[in-house]
Amino acid sequence: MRNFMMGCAASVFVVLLTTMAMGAGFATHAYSSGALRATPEAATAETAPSIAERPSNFHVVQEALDMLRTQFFGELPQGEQVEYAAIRGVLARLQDPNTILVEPEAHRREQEQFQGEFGGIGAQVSMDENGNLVIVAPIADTPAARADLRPNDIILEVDGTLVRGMNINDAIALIRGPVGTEVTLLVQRGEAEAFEVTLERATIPDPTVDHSVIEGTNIGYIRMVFFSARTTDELRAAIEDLQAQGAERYVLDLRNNPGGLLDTAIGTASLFLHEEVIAYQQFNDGSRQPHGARGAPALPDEPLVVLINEGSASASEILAGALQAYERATLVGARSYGKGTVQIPYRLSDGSSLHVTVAHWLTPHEVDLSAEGLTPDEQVELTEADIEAGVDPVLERAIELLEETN
Amino acid sequence: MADSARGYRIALILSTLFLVVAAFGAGWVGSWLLQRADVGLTLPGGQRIGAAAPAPAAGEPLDGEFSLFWEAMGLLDAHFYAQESLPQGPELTYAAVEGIVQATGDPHTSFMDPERAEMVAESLEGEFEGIGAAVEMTEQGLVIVTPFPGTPADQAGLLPGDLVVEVDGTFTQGLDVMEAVSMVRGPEGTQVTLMVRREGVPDLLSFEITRARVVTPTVETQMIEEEGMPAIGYIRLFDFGGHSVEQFNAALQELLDQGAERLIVDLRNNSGGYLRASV
Repeated sequence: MRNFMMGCAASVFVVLLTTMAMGAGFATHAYSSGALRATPEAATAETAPSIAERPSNFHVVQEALDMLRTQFFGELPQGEQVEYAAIRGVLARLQDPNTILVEPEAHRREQEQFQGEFGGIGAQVSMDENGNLVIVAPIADTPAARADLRPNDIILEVDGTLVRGMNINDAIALIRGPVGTEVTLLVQRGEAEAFEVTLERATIPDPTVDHSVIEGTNIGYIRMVFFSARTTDELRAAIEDLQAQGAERYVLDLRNNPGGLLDTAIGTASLFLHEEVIAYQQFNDGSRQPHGARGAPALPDEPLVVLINEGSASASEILAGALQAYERATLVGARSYGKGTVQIPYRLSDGSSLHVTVAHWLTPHEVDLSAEGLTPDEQVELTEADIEAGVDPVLERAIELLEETN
Repeated sequence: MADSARGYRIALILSTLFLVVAAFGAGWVGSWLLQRADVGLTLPGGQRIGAAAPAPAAGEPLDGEFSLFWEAMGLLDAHFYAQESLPQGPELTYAAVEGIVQATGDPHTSFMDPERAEMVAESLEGEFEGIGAAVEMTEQGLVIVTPFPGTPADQAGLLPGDLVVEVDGTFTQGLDVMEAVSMVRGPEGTQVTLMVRREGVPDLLSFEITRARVVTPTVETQMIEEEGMPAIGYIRLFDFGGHSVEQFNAALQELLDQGAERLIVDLRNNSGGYLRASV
C-alpha cells in the first residue's frame, strides 16, 4: 500500500502553521500590486454614473442607520463594522463570490499564508483528546528548539491565558505574533511542576510542498498544498532532492490545493515548461496579457502525472491546465473546481483588504475555465470506502501510468 | 337584558384583546414578507401600528464617517472585472442599507426599496387596487389560493387552485411573488389579462379582468349551535390588516345578533401580517 504520503497530512498541525480553513475557490491572487495591473487609469475617465459617485439618495443610509440606532432591539454593528456591512451589502450585489472584504485580523493571517511564513516559535502542536495543547515536535533552529521545548510538553497557558480545550486555531493565534515580540508559555512536562518559558517570536517558514520517493520505484511524489510566495523555491528544492535520490518520473499532487498566488502558478509551471504561454489574463476591456514561462525548467521532459480533484482550484488549475495544454503531463483524478478569475487584494486605509476580481485567466489554448474546470485525461474516483480503507486509487493509477513509461 | 349587557362586555373585552393582539401581531409582519416574498420591512416592528416613530436623531454626516466605504467603491470602480454588475445611483444606496440591515443578524429586520415598500404598505392597509384574490407562488407559477367574495376575480370565475401561467403575456414561473403581484395589481379601472391553467381543463383559459379597489377580508365567522349547549360564535382572524378592526367588530356584532353566548377567537396560523399575498 502506497498511502504514506496521504498520511502525513493527518491530525498533526504542522509547526503552529495550521493554515486558515480555506474553501476551494480561494482566490488566485496577483499578489504584489505591481504583479499585474488592470490599467486603472483607463477606467477612471468614464462618463456614465459610477459606483464611486455618491447617489442623491445616499442620505437614506444615514436615515436607516439613525432609525436602527434609536429603535433596534439588539446589538448593532459599531464603528467600522457599519462600513464593512455597507460594503458587503454592495459586494452581495456583484454575484462574485471572490470579490470580498477581509477584515484586518483575517487579512494579517492571510498575508502570512501568502508569504509562506509567519511570526511564531517553530513547534508542531496538536490538541490531544483531553483538550491539551501538546507539542509534537520543535523544528530545528527555531525559538522553540533553542528554548528546549520537547515533544509531549503540554502548553497550559499562553501569556496568562488558559488554552486547554480551546479551538486549536485560536490557541495558535495566541502563540503567533509579530516577529521580534515575546510570548510566555506555561509548560507542563511530565509530572514535574509547570514552568514558564519566554520566547522571542521569529520568522517560521510555512512549507507548502512535501515530497518523497515512492517505495520500490523511481517515482518522485510531490504534494503541493498551496501556492505561497515560497512555493516555487520549495518545489525546486523538492525536485532537486528527489533527483538526488534517483527519481526519474514524477507525480505532482494538486488535489485539494485551493490555489494562491498567480505569480507562483507561473513560477511553478516554469519548472516543467519552456518559454511558452502558461496562461493569459483577460481584462474587462477584452485585452489579454500573456504570462510566459521563465528560466530553465528543472524537469523539461521527465514523465509526469498530475493529480487533480474538485478541490483543485485557481492557481492549481493554471498549473495543471498549462501542463495539460502542452501535453507535458497526464492529468488523473476528478474534474477540477473551475475558478477562472484573478483577484488583487487592495489594502484599505484601516488595514482591511478588498479582494477584487480584476481579470479572468485563460489556458494557453485561450479557454476560460470558470465553471467548467479542467477535465482529467483519466477520470479516477476516490470513494469514501477508499478513504476509510486508507487506499488511494488515484495515486495507484498515476503510478501505473508512470510505470508504463520508460 | 342581562344577555345584552353580557354581550357588550364580551365585545369590549374582545375589542381590547384584539388591539393588544394586533399590536403584537404587527411585529411579525416583516417575517412573512421576508419568507414569502423575499422582501422585508425596514421599520422596527412596532412602529407601523404604534405611536408615531420618534424622529431619527440627526446623525453625523455620512461623508466623513463613510470614507472607508467610498474607498472601497473607488477600488471597485477602477478595477472590478464585471463593471456592468456594479450597482450605481439609488441602487448603490439600497445595497449599502441592505448590508447594514443584514449585519443586525435579525431576520425580521429588513429593508425594502420604495417600490416594494409601497406594495407592502398597501397590503398592510388591507386595501389595494387589483383583482381580489389571495395568491401564492409555486414552482409552476402564481396560484390562486382563493378569490375574495364579490371582487373582480370572483366575478370573473377564477377558482382556488387556478394556475396563472401568464399575466399580460409575461410568464409567472420563476418570478418572485412580489414581482408577480405587482404585475397583476394596477390602477382601478384598468384591465389585466390572465392565462390560466385549470385542472381538468385541457386548454388554457383566458380571463380579462377589470381591476377594482379591493378590501382584503381577514375575518371568517360561524355559529356553532348544539342542543343543550349555549350558542357559540366562532371568529377566525387570518391576518391583521388595516381593515381588520372594522371587520372584526362587524363580525362580532353579527354573531351577537345571532344570539352567540360564548365566543371562540381563532388566531391559529395568523402570522400577524398577511398570510398570503393578494392581487
